Parts: sequence; structure tokens; C-alpha cells
Amino acid sequence: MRFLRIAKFDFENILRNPTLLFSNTVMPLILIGLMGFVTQSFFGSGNMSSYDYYGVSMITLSALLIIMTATNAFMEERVKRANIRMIYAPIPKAEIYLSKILSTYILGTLSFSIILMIGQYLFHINYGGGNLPYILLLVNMLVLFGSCFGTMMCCVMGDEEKASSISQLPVLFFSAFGGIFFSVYGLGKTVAAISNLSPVKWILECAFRIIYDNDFALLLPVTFSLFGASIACVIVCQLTFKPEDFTC
Amino acid sequence: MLNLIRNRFLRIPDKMHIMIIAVVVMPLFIGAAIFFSGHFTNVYKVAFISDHAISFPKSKSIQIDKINERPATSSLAMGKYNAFVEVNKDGEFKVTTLKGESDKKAIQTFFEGGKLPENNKTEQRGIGTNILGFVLMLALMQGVALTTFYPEDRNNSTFKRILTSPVNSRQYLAAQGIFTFICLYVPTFIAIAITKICFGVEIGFGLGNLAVLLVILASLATAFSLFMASIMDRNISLGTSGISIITCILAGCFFNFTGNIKVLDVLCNILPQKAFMILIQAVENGRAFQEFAGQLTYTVTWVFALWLVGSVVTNRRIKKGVY
Repeated sequence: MRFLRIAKFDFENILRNPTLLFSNTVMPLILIGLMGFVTQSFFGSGNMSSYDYYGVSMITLSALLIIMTATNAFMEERVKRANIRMIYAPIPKAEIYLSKILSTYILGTLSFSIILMIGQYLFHINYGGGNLPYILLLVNMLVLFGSCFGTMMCCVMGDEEKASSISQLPVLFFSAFGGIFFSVYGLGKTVAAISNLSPVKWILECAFRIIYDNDFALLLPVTFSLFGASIACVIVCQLTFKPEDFTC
Repeated sequence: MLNLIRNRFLRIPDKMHIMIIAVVVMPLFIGAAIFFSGHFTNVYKVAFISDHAISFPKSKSIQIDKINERPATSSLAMGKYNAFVEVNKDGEFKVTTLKGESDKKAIQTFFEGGKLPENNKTEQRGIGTNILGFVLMLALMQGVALTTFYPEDRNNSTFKRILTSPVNSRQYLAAQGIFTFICLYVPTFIAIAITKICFGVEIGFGLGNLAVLLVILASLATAFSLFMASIMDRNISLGTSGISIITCILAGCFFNFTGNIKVLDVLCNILPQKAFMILIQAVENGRAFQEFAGQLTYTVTWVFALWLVGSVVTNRRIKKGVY
């Protein structure tokens, strides 16, 4: 009960922050629309339009960027003060960071599921038609991982600004090498081989295989890896989170 | 004011991560981007699906993999192949691609006649323009991280204390601006210059032109970050990144596009990045700066406008007693 109350407060805190709300609701749609519009001429009238491609890749990117929301929900100046009170209270420290993970995750799941459904049914972006639930699951896991990773970075760095600026780098790096912005195969065989190391590439490939080939071979490995990575992040949180650092 | 600038530099160790990102990681990113953009090939990767051995003339701009079975459609989506070509019973080639109509025709022509039609590709933008477009976006996003001392001073009430000394807010902003500008300009210039000189990557500009263009670019990023740091209270970095990405795509920093929507066209033309992109493209094509005085003035006007608005907002808040 107490934990849920903390999580509810954290959730409301995110809702009260217009920038966070905007970046998790309207921003992905704007990105899809813009990238799709700008690259329209590169795609033909085949069964995948520019909107279909960037619909998948920009959702992946936005879902990963929920890391920023997580770091913000955890250690923004205003939230920090409330955290200090909780540290004084007889509450296990796990409840403090788990509530941030839960609130970010709930927000992310809700908004990205709605975005995917709006995309498919209102804007006719191809998210797999009847296979949409699987894409929902994939994005859901991605959001969970992002929430855990962002919170972990906060625990490790102990500072919101550091955590968010540093965690942006691997996201950008893996996205660029995972084919979010352009196809890596255009850079030759070596780079294409390197891109296999990027988790983002596998997420994209998994999504495209589900949507265009009805091929679910990658779904379980990818979702389980994301889930495993999330648990690993939570463990690191427990090990590195030092509430006493807050008080100074 | 000199003291203020010195103070910024003295506080660098406190923000080591930001400096490392700005001075080490970003230049590496830029270097990698330049390096790879030189390798970006416009080769069609075609999967030829046939049981029979048919040989085709070799061409530099088309690469054919012969396979027996049709690969997954998702390999088209991922860009592993640009097209599938199949032969039907009548011996006709059927091209399946996600690319545009002209590309489809080009591939079809190659398989039928053994030659790609000449000039089938639309005119490409120079490497230099693409690179500076990318750098512009990075600079706009990085600028606000380098301006972090200003919001921090406000939050800690240091700003209030500074204002009780014989320094006014305009001087404070100027000092912060100079710091941001230096930290943006120097690493970026060095990164591009090193990749050009040491790795011999052709970037389309001479070092002189590059130096001048980067001054404009870094000033724009500096003014924008001061503006954003002045008008926003929290989530400055997130807000700035969002605005930078959207406006840079719209201004054609990555893809040159022509839209058919009037409102959007007008909107794009208002953006300072658009004027800057026109300018660098012209310079890369060997035109003189003077010919594009209009674009130059327009960009500089934006720099001053952003600076001015940021300064006015700060002043008004000081008078209201917000800080």
C-alpha cells in the first residue's frame, strides 16, 4: 500500500511536468510524421512507405529515450527534496527507486501503446495489423528496460544531469549503428557486420520480421534479453544506490 | 566580466562529464560521421532469385547476390537488399523494391539491357553540406549542456549574489556566451580539421571557409542555448534537444526535400538553419560568401534576436524578483 502511494505520487509528478509529458506523447508522433514526410521520395509505392519505416524506428528511439524521463523522475531538483524525506522515514531503500521505475514504466507503456494504436488505426502506419499485440509487447519491454536503465544510471552517477547526459551517448551510438536513421548496409559489409553488435538493430529486425514476414523467431530472444537486462539494472540499483548521498 | 569567464573555466572540473562529452566524445562522433559519410555508397544491392545461372555485366553501382530462395521481406525493410529481382515464365524480370519509381526503373533497365540508365540518380548534395548539417544539430543540442552553469547559478542563488556585485545580467550572459562559444567552436573545428588533414577525407571546404562557417554555426548554437536557458526553468536540456531535432529535420539538415505543403514550406524558410544550409551548400559549390549576403544577414539576425530575447526575459525576471 505504502509503495503504491509513493509510486502514485511519482507518477503524478511526471504528469505535472509538461516537457516529460510532451516528449512521451506528442513527440514520437511528430518525429514519425516529420521523418516520414521528409524521406517520402526515397520510398516507392511498395508495401512499405517512409511512414511505415520511421513509424517503427522512431517509436524504438522514443521508447529508448524514456531513459531521460526515468532520470528526471528520480533525481530532478524538486523530486530530490521529497526523496530526502523518504530516506529519513523507515522505508527500505528499494522502495524509493522501484517506485520511480514503476511510475516511469506505467507512463511509458500507456502512452506508447496508445501511440502504436493511434498510428495503426488512425494514421494507417503498418504496425503488423493483427500482429500488433506482439509489437506492443516488444515496445513494452523496451520501455521497461529504458526505465530500469535510466534509474540505474541515476543510482550509479548520483546526479540527474550526469546520468541523462551520459546515458544519451550509448542510446545515440547504438541507434545510429542500429539503423534507426539510415540503413547501415549502405556503409559497406564491415559496418553492417559491426551493427550486429547493436541491440537496437535486433529490436528493429525483430519488429520488421514480425510485421512483414510473420516471423516470430526473434521475439522471444529479444524480449527475454530486454527483460533480463532490466533485472540486471535493478540489481545494480540495489547495489549502488546510496540514500545517504542525497542528504548532503 | 573577465572574472566571470575565468570562473566558468575554473568550474570545469566540477562538470567534467559535460566537458568530456563536449571536448572528446562529440568531436569523435563528428570525426566518425565524416569518415563514414565518405564511405557511404550508393550501390543498389539486389537479390536475384533464380535457379538458373545467368551472368550479368559487372557494374560499380549495382551488386547482385544470386540466391535460390526469396529472402524475407524484412531484409528489404532493413536495407540489406534494395530490391528483389525474379524472372517469370515469359523471361521477364520482375523487380520488387521499397524504393521509389525511378530506382525501380533503373534496376529494371539494368537487368533488361545490362546497363544502368545515365543520370538516373537525382543530384546529390555535397559531403560538406551534410557534415555541417549534422554538426549544426549536435552543436544546438550540446550548447545547452555547456550553458549549464547559468541555470545552476540561478538554482543555487549564486546568480542573485553575482548581481549584487558591479556586474549586470547582460555582462553575465555575455560571459556565459563566450564560454559556450569557445567550448563549441574549438573542439568542433579541431575535429573536422584533423579528419581532413590526417585522414585526407575530402570535406568540400577549405580550412578558411570552414573556420568562418563554424563561427556562424557556433554563434547560432550559443544564442539558442542562452535563449532556452533563459526562458525555461526545468528540463532545459530535454526541451532543447526536442526543438533542435525537429527544426533541423525541417530545415533539411539531413535530407534535402521539397514538400508540397505551403504552410510547411513557409515555416521551414523561417528557420535560421535553412538559411545556413543554403549558405553552406553555395559555399561548397565554390560560390563566394558575398553572393549570399541575404542568408548571412538573416542567420546573424536570428543570433542577435535570440540573444536579445534571452537577455530581456532574464532582465524582466530579475526586476520581478524571480531570481
